[in-house]
Amino acid sequence: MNTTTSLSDSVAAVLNRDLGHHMEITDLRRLSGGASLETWQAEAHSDQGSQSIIIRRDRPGTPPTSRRDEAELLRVVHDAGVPVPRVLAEHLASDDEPAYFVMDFLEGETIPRKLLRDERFETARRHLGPQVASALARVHSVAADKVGFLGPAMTPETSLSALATAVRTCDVESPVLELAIGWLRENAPAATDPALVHGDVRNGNLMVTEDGLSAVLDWELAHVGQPAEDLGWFCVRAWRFGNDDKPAGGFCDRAQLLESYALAGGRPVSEEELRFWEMFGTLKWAATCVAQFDIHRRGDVRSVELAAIGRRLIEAEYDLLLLLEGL
Amino acid sequence: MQTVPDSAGMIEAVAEWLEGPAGAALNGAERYNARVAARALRGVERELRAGSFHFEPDRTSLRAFVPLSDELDDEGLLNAVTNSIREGQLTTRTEKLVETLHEYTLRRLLLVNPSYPIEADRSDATTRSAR
Repeated sequence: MNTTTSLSDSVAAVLNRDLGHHMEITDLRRLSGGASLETWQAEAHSDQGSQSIIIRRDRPGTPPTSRRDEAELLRVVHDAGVPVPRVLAEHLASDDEPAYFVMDFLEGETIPRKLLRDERFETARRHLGPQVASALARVHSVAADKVGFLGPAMTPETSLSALATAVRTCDVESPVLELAIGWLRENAPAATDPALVHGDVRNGNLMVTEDGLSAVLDWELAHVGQPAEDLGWFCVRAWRFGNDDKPAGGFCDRAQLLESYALAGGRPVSEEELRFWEMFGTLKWAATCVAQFDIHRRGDVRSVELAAIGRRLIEAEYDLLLLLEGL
Repeated sequence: MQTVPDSAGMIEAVAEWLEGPAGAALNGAERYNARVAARALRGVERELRAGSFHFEPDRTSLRAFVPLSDELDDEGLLNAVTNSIREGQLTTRTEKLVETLHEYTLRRLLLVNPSYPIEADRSDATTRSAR
């Protein structure tokens, strides 16, 4: 039996088990494959009707990652009112099929430049800043003990110390990165109550329709930590794609983001705190550029795209200097 | 001895090929990668054309922050500045340090990705070395 037939049969059985009605799966096709994860789309038909589904599966032959945690996390944030796809069914790893889960397919656009430039998203653009702020307030309403499987809570100090170690082991001599570490050490805010942090909310991980935000995607970097980290990351200049007059994701200004966040029930975050986490996020982006290049350098995946992301380190260094100069 | 085309000229030819017929013959992810590769090569081409002397003003200004640095090559100089920052001898409060690093970083960035700097740094590019 080939992979597609065997996965179709398995998905039909799992949906039947978890939803309680007979399902037929057609049009199974692979959308993308990373180093450890595959995403598939298919149509599910039952006597109740038809719908598109998405399957997130561990890549066969790779060590099992945590699809189970990802599905559990999606359930928790869905219950907290965060716009995310609904998890329909789940398969734990078995001898003949790696772990996967099935979720709703959602319509929408995720390509950053389209969202920032296309005329049809003009209304969406006006709403996206406040909508993201409000979604984040709901993410951060999830208490640390509900997502204990994500590991211990990070404070500003432990986050910074982990990032500084990552920067210093990445084999680039950069006065700018070192200067940023020094500034962050001096300006770390006091720890606030830990909560669920998405870790990668930015243009590119937002599913958007013409009306605005329809889902927050890519929860792989979720952890327990400081809520303001998500707000700072959203403001990192790399995600503005040239919209420098709208620092918050390319959609609105920082004050508007903070105001919408507090209005939606988030703990008020000061401009100084935001600046710390924006600097932190920019330094993290710098470390990520080098880490992506390292995947290529080590030979795990040889890729011109990964090599070229390494060259973007200079952009992150420049952005750190703008922040240090208060520009 | 002379090689024709020179390194920048050869890189330019490959970049043009990727931007033109090679890219057009590809689809989807590979077409995207061809664009990424061409952009990266254009940066390399500009770096090669600018040459090492382009960064002479930065060498001079960075040396001012490190004692006995006249003999250091570029890598040694950067290591020395980085170490002084790591050890706390140089900080964001050190006079002219952030400005100097800004000048140096911008000069490299304008070669690697000239559209990335903020507007003030782009329009100012021609007069920048005099600032």
